[in-house]
Amino acid sequence: MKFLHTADWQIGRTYSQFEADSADLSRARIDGVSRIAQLATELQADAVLVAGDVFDSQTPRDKTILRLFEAMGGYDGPWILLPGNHDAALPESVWQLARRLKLVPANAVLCLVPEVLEVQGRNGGRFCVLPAPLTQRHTHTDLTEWFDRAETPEGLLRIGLAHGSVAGILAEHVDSPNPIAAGRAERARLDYLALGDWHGTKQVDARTWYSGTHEPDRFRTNDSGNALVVEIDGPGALPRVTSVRTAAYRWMQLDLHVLDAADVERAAEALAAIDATTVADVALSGTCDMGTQARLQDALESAERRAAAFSARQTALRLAPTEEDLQALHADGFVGAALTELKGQLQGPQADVAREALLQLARIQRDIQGKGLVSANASKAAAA
Amino acid sequence: MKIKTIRVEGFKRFRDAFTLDQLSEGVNLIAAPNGSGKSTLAEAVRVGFQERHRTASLGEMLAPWTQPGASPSVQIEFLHDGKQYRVAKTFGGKKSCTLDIEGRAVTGEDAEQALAEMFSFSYAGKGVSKPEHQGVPGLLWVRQGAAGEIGTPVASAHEYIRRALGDDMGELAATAGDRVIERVEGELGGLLTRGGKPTGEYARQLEQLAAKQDELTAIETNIVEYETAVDRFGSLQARHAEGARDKPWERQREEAKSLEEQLQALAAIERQRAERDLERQVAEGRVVQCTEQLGAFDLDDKSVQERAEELQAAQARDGQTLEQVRSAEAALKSAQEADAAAREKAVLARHAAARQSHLDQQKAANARRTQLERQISGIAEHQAELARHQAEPARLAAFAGAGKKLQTAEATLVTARARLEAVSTRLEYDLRNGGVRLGGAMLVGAGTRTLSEPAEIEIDGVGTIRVLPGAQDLSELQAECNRAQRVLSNALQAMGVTSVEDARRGEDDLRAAQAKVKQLEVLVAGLAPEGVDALRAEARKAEGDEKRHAEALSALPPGVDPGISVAAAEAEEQVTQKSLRDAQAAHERAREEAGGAQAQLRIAKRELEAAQARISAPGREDRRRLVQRELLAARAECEEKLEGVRQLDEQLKAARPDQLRLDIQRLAKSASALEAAHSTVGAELTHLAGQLQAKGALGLQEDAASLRDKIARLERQVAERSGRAAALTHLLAVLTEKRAEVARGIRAPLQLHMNHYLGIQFPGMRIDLDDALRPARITRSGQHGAETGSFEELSGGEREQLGIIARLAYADLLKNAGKPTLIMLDDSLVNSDLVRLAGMKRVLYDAAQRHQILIFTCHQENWLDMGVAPRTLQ
Repeated sequence: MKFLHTADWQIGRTYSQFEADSADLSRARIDGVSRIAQLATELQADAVLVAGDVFDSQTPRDKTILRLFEAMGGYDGPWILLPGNHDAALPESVWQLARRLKLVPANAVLCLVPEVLEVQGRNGGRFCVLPAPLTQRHTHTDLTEWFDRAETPEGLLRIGLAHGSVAGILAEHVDSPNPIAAGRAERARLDYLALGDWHGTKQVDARTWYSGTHEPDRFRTNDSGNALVVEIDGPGALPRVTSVRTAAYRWMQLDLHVLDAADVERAAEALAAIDATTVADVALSGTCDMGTQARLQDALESAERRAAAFSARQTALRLAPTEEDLQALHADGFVGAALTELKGQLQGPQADVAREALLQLARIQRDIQGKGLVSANASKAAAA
Repeated sequence: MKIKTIRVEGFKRFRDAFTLDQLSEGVNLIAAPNGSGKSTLAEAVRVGFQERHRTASLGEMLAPWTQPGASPSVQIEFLHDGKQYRVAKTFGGKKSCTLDIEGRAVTGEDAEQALAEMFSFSYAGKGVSKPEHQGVPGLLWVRQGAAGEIGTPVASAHEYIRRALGDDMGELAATAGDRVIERVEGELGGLLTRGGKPTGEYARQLEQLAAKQDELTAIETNIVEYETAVDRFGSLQARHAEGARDKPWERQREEAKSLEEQLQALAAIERQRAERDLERQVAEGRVVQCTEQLGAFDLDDKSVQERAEELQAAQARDGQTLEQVRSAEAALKSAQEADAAAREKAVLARHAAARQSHLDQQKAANARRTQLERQISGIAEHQAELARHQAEPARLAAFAGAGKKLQTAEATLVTARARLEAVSTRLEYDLRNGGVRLGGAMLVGAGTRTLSEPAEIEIDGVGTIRVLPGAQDLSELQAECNRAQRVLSNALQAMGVTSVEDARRGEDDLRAAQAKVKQLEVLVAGLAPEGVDALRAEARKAEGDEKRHAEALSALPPGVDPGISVAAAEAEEQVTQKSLRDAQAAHERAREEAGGAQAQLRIAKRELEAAQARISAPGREDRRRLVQRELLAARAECEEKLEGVRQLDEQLKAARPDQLRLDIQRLAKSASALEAAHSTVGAELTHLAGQLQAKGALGLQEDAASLRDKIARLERQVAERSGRAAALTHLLAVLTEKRAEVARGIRAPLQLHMNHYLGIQFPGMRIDLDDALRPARITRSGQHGAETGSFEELSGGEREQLGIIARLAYADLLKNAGKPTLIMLDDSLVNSDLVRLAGMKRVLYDAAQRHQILIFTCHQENWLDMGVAPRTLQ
């Protein structure tokens, strides 16, 4: 049989760091589900396994729920949906809300209780689902424990579905709640254990995988944005798992340290690579003169215009104006003195505010000079 | 710089050409009286340099009064920086302008432009030059009375001074610096108020941010409430399910039921106890009954003795009351006797009083009657007299009014007679012997007669004389007289008298008779106002009274006077009557008491007899013994039943049925409470489910998330603006500080020159210059130590002196910068006293070592010590 394993859709998630682009990124998570549906149809999958955190919160807007189920319309086989920690099967939850609103399509199987489900695949074959839904926001017991004792009809695949962290596998999740014991698949005689919660694609053992989220939502480089195609020839057979790209966006975190011309070139190249599918977070650091600062500023602004979503920090970038920089501003008299003073302050405790003040002064000075230049040109032209 | 010659022609005072030549470096003193053209010359220098030759109005303005069409011209030769210059300007009709520099001529506007740059001033766009255009010359060329004004000329010259100093000061002068500051201030003003508070879009964003944060807090609170409710819902659901499965209240009910059975077993024992107790009560009743009966026997025995004692007492009381009756009777009798005696005495006293009264009244009636009779007889006499007098007026009635009537008749007669006599013949006679006869009557002696009719006088012996009266109506008068005579005679006749006198007497008599009658009538009326009959009736009544009292007297029995007044006798009678009533009452009471005692005595006798009858009834003692036996039996039964009850009570006490009942109650209540709690949980579950469904549908968390987006955006915008505000604030601070430093840099050399002159004229004084290089704060040692004030607060003379000193300091500064400096003073320092003037002359002489100074004055005597001879304008 063939399954498509995905998880951590977190529909309704927003991205406050990306200001105006946040809505686009939110929308992309739903569009990703459409692609999964399309993929499942193309691959003639028997079912789609969604291993938890379908929704980002228990109380999304009605419209968001509606859009998700609409997006799932592209695949008419069973969708096995498991509640995760974000959308746990609490006594009152998003699942009940969805049911009350009559938005849940007939082919969606909601695993709200830990009991064996016998499901008929899209291609007619039957298999058993052993779900471990979270019924509280956080649990500290292993909800998959009952899999070991669960009886299923002979000859049907045993597919486990759980959401949490496998003990000892994910360093970051050592103390995290919702633990899952290592070796569960083997002990519970599972043919495949589909896991969610970890946002990157990751194999735990021969029969246990995290699919990761279908659309990246953070900059951590952990291979997210995939779904897994799981093929199992029959009970007891080892699954063949292949990763398929589902992401619309590439999340890129650029840490650009600038010290010399070569660094500047590299930084400019990196920024130039940002395109409409990129969600970028740029941190500039190092030291540069005013000319370079202006160039980098231009490159940042251009990248921001192109990027799907963009954020940048350059507070760590130190400004070191050169004599030429200052000369170019043609600041004489006390303005020139002020410029020199601010330049001196760049080394001191007021470096940040001095840097900003300097940039402001440069801008104003260029502005005034530019106007002066224009008017001077204009008068010359008139004289001619 | 040095002006060599000044030449004017057709210029105000100078109609003809006038040249002031051989001007020297240093001080030049031009002395002339008022109105001789000093100021014109100073003006010519100014016009020559600073006015445009094309300015139309100047031709007329500068032309001499007597030569309005002239073309005023000025020509000035001067040396500067080792070069020869000559400027020549003509205004009015023959406008022209030439500037020769070392023999190389520049003309027109180019020449004027070159002058402006050289001397640091500008031209007016149109018309004559105004103070703001005059730049450095406006400062150094002091017009009459203007030395004390320094602010305006410095302001006008400031920019030129700074520009002139530019080469010297290098980077310290900013060309567009103030514009930068303006821009920074403008941009900062868009972000912060002067007080540093956010304003405009920045403030709006801050407000928005705060509002959104509040909104988010509210939603987050709501979310927490929602989640808490969800948790509660879960735990309630679990509890409810547990309750529905276990039904703990049923266990309580079963336990209560078994206790109920125990309680029913106890109820049988309780019934038995109640029976026992009832039997005990019956036995106790019998004990009481027997005891009462025995008591009755004892009571009868005791009552015979008591009755006998009571009888004895009754007898004693009877004897006592009888004695009391007797003594009361005796007292009554003596009271009766005393009363009868008093009554008789009172009767006698009353009879005696009546007799005396009748006697007195009889006497009074008799006296009244006698007096009335006398009165009546008196009145009868007066009435008889009245009757007599009443006839007299009737007799004299004819004389009523006689006097008046007769008087009229007499008057008529006298009048007639007088008229007759007047026309009659008067006959006077005096007869001595014998007499004559007239009309038959004898006339003798002397007399007169009137004759109204013919008469004859007979003289005896002589014959007869016939006298015929001559008047014609004599006879008529005679007839009238006769008629009057007849009337009178008739009247007298009617009255029955012959003379008028008699008639008058008759009238008087009538009046007297009438008065008498009236007098008598009044008398009679006074004596009997109600008539004599009333008097007679009264007399008869008095007579009756007299008789009645006489009869009453005779009717009274004869008696003796007891010698006591009626009042005293009656008082005595009242006393005896009261004693009598008291005695009667006492008697009555005594008799009643005696009656009561007798009745009591009879009852006592009867009761004694009855009691004696009861105790002597046959079979009484047998009955008594029977009752005694009965009592003993009842007591024994009572004891026995009581013991039975006590035993049952002990059984009950051991089983504690009250406790059992409480237990049953407790268990029942617990069961109900458990069940109620279960259904309450059910109700709350329903309620919570509704609430959660409602809240869950609000999209709270997604709202919160998008609100967080907005807040993050606002925060970034605010941070960006606050960063910019901080940067601009910092920038502004640095710029302002640097500008101040520059200003200080320019001020320093100026201050140095200023101090040089101050040392000469005002030792110890210090002048601080402001940013615009004007003298601002002045500090000097005064009478009370150091004093500080502004330039404007100085006296006019001091301002003038300091004004010139400041100008000289500027001139020094400009000279150092290579600028041409010429100083002109037109009648300056006129307000300075001689000591100060002397100081100022030293100052000017000092300055003259570096600058050419033209001093125009009309007080040449004040300036004789300037080291030069005064020049005149001739």
